[in-house]
Amino acid sequence: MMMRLSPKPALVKPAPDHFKQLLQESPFAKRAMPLCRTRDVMNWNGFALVNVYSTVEEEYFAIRNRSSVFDLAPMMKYRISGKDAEAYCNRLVTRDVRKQKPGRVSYVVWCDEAGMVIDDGTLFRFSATEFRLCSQERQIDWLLDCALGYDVTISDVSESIMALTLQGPTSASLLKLCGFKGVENIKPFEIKDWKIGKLAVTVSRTGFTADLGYELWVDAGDAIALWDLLFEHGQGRGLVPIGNEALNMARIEAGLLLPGIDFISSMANVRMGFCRSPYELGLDFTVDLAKPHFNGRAALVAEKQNETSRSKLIGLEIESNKPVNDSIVYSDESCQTEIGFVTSAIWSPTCKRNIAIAQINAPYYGTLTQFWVELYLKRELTWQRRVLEAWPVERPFFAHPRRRQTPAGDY
Amino acid sequence: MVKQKFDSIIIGGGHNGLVTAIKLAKAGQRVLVLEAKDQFGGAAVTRGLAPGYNISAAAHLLHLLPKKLQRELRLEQFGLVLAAQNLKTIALDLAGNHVVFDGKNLSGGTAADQSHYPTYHRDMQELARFFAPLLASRAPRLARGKHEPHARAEKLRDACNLAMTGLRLRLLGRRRMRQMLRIIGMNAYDLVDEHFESPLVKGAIALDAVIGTEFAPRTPGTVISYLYRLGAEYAAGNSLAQPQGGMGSVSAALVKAAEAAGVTLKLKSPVARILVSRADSSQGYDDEYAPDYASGVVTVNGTEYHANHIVSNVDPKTTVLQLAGPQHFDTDFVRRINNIRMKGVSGKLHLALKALPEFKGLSRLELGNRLLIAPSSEAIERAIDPTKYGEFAEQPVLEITIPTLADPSLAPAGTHLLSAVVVGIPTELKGGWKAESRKALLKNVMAVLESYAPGIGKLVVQSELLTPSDIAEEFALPGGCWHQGSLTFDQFYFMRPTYGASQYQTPLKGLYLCGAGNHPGGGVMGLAGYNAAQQVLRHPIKNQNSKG
Ligand SMILES: Cc1cc2nc3c(=O)[nH]c(=O)nc-3n(C[C@H](O)[C@H](O)[C@H](O)COP(=O)(O)OP(=O)(O)OC[C@H]3O[C@@H](n4cnc5c(N)ncnc54)[C@H](O)[C@@H]3O)c2cc1C
Repeated sequence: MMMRLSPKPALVKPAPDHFKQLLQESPFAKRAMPLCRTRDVMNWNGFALVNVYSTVEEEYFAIRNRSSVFDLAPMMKYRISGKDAEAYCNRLVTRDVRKQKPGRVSYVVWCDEAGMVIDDGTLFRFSATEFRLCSQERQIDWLLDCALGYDVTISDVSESIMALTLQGPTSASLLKLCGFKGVENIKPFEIKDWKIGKLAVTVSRTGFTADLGYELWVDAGDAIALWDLLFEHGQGRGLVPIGNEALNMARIEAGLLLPGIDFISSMANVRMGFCRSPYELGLDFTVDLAKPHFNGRAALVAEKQNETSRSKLIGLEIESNKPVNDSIVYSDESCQTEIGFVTSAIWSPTCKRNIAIAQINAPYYGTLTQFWVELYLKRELTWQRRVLEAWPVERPFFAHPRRRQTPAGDY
Repeated sequence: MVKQKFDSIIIGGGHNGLVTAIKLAKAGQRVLVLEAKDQFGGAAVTRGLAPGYNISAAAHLLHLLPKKLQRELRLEQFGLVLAAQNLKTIALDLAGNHVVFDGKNLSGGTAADQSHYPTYHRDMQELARFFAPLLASRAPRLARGKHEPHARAEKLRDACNLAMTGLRLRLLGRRRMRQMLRIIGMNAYDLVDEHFESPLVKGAIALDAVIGTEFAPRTPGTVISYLYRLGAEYAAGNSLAQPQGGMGSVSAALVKAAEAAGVTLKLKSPVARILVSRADSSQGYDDEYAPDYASGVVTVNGTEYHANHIVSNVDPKTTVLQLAGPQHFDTDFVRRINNIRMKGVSGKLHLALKALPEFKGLSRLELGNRLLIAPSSEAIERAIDPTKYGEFAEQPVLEITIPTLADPSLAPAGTHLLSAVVVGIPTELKGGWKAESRKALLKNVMAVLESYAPGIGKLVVQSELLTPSDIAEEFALPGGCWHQGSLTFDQFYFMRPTYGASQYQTPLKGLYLCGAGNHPGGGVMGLAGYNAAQQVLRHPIKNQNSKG
């Protein structure tokens, strides 16, 4: 086999005065920013992105009861193409990519040689030889290093492809109104192309909300046209733009993980022993040890075979209605034995449950059925300490049957 | 397609591969050696230069092959004879005022140099004594990945090795320990400058520090490569020697020893690929947990051979990336292997001479020694400097032997051979190697020779100048690197060839490495091959592909 290293992508030369603007503007910003009545903007991957447009409550309930749209501009997108694209992806991620058919998306994680998770993301398969990997963190160095020996071309298409995520029960009917004929028939994790007038849109039935929803992909130049198309027909379906905060609530309900929040990428990790394997993140379903060699396989085999997982991310439900952000978890009410900590927590308005994702150390996960969570509450400047009972529950905390239903419901 | 099953297959019949083969066969294994070329020995060979003239085409001096190993392998019984031993090193002077290094004695140079040299020599020998055992044993591993073997015995062995090293460091005594810690990070230029006055003395010692590397005396880390060489010489317990029949005789003796041990040897059998399989239930594995393992090789002409252990004498980078393929390894490991630097700035000059040349100020008797044309450390620096920019030296530095003095059998009666390592040639020449650039280089080399040995040009019947890229081609040594991986601080010891493979074992089960690219490195030393065999033998065949 001939060795071949994909050429490093050409550096995009920044404008001479780029430093004056600290955050990059999303191509949707011309439409999104005027709608942001709070001026609450955040930095996501170097982009200025709306955190809250109006109120978190309104936005959150739009996700669950109507239609919501969220700007995915800062998402990293990598095109992987070539004769060996399938073999390349299969060595990269822990899932068996050979089983993924063209026109399908799958949730994937990728590991280093110690079996520690580098990042998670979605892998789109367009054909036998073309894939797109979407992730939150930048991965180009890793992806290029993985290409050694494979006949593939890796390119960073993050800035040339833009996406909106349209989530909510009325999202299918809204798309139909927009002219996406037959959109209700695409199955979860399926991809299809549409042409609406001159606008070419790739639709995938994916999202972070564990509900009916779609992601809409266009050339960066068509970003505004996509936004306008949705909002032209959106009113009757209750479409509102949502910011990060509301989406984060939905993603916790959906039990999905975020790098930097629920786990540390092994690439970003500094302290020994702080990164985690897919098993430790509760992502066993993404690991297929029986497939051909992939990054981290030997380590993961050893972990599974010798049962050496150090901890597990699990779902917790907690008494009371106070979210237990950042809390330490104990095995006893007297808080003598520390056994883990909470990574994400909210009071779930839809489930009416106090939920959290928590990292629980071995051997307590899987055996203990009662945990204690320490919470500090600030009441008019006065700190109060609470010890709340918690118990393990299944993730996702919320998963509506309509998320799988095909044809999608016409709400 | 023939299928044959062996216990171990050695890819490459260089001297290290042969040592591994003998050691494994003696332990009762059925061993196959597959060599690409029509001759065994790799860079330890004798081959034709012109009709009747046979030259040591790469290595030309034997000084690193341990006495103990020679005895263990009974190389003398298998025909290894030394034509010359106890060779002196003579640093040539243009005016004929040469400096002679003979063990701990120095003649020539300044009076101060002469009186200081024995002390210097003793100090360095003490440090060499410290290094020697490190070279003769496998490097310990500082940390094991959680999926790597956790065998208690292995860990204990490494811990003992480290502890012993620490202890021996203490036993050096306070003065020598401090001395070593002070100089170990230095460059050779500064070291010789501290100790000596005469440019010739400095040049000769500085050349010892850098010969066979791509570095010049002022490059950081050249004292460690110097101590390394001294350590290897100390471990070998030999003097500078010249085998009867050239370096190929070492390999020939190894081949005989291998045959006697029952090794199957095949020439002209270049391996195209290492076969990788997934273990299965017949080997006691669940599908999920079954490891991949190197199960055999396939040659360029399509013959398959199978074995429990595949041991590669080919450089680690080529072995992993070309023969096995990156897809069988994790990206982190592939990245480290791919980053291995292999460079050389030395070529090889071979001259067939009508008659014995005359060197100014040297008697006929003295001509049989190791002759250096390295007038000063600066001269070496100047010779190597241009290689950084893809150019060759105006005045290359030379390590010369005239092997026919001690061994007339190498050339027709009355005629002679000159073999010289030529320092100061880049692997890749700016603009590429062309007939004119080769001619220009040869002209530079001959001009240097001519100034020390007037009239030598007229004696030349046949000449050959191998550039580092010719060496890369002829000896399958990428970059023209003598060591299958530059001897730099980051590629030493437990970093050689890289962590995760520093104990002759790759992360791919059953795939071992035994060449110079592994600890303790290059030179006709045989230790990489010896240590690798020991590592293979730690994994009994019956357990190789089964659990536990
Ligand atoms: C110009 C020069 C001068 C030197 N001078 C000296 C010296 O004076 N003294 C000294 O001690 N050392 C010297 N050395 C260093 C020494 O020669 C080498 O370090 C040593 O010979 C390496 O031995 P090895 O067995 O590890 O590898 P090699 O000798 O490189 O053996 C590898 C073998 O594998 C074979 N091979 C490669 N690919 C395949 C394949 N795909 N299938 C089958 N076979 C394959 C090769 O043909 C070769 O036979 C010199 C080296 C050079 C280049």
